[in-house]
Amino acid sequence: MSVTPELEDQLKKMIVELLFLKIQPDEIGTDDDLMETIDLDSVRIFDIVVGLETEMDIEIDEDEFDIENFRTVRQIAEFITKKQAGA
Amino acid sequence: MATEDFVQISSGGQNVFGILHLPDGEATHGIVYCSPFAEEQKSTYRVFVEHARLLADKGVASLRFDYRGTGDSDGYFQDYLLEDWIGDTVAAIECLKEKSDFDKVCVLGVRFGGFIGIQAAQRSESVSDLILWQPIISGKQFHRQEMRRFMIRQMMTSGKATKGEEELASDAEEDNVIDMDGYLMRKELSEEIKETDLTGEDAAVPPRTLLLQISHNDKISKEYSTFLSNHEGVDLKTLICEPFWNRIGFVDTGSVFETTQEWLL
Repeated sequence: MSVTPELEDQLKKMIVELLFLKIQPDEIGTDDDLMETIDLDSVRIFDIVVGLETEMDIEIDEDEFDIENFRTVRQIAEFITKKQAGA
Repeated sequence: MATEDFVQISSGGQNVFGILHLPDGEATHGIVYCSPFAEEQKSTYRVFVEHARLLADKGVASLRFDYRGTGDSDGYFQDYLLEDWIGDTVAAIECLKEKSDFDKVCVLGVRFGGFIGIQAAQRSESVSDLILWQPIISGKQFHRQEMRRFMIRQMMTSGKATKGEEELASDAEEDNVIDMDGYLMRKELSEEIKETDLTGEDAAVPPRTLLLQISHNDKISKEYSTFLSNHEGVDLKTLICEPFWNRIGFVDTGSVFETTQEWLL
């Protein structure tokens, strides 16, 4: 199952809202390293994780807390897509 | 001129540290503040100070205090269970009543402080109003979120979380204490938090209760929807505001203060 541009846009919008960022969602590049571009730290990842679980209706398993699932919008989108497909 | 004085409150034979804010002249209301848990308490500290000072200028007396095992109060974190902190809150309520000559006071709890505040209000006949800022209602969900916070910190340090709930529990077998990012917590405390669910109608709240949902949008969470359906009469207000309890930098809490003030005064 491939990642849709709609999901990537939805995630960018969600990240901006959850973190109260003062930028437009399309200013976040799909492959931008979020740790560099929006100073993603443990506090901000926590907000994203809780937001993803609530709004995407998924449950992140303990062994999925891997930075490579959260570093870019594309990685988050791929992770969500896999979760929703039940992989 | 409003005053701020240190008070010692006795609870369980130990000292609870508090700061009493009294307005200039006779107070119109009294508020006891209940702090959040662990790291969230740190980010909320200054918010409580500023709120208490703002309200003192409006004629409100208030008491901020540290649960035993936290801040300047007696004891160590791992010495206490939920009931102890609920007892500290009830003792703080009695202290404010005595110092300000009120029969009843308001309890204001943030996050875990809301969880404690609801239970203190159930045990005390001296609570007239309850104000809940984004309270924890389900202990199970709160515990799950704290586990996530713990695993995210590991992930940020090592790239991947290596220790989950089972490993933490197994570490605790020997000394019965779980290290939650520097907060040593007895296994019993962790278990009783998980088992405490305040969403049901059996978890009574005072007739005058405000639930303030503070979030990135105004969609009411499932947890709060269930709570509200079981607690008719609770006033719900939603605010789009940054979660100040989960921030290191400045957050403008003006809308939280204004909404609370309008409801209370």
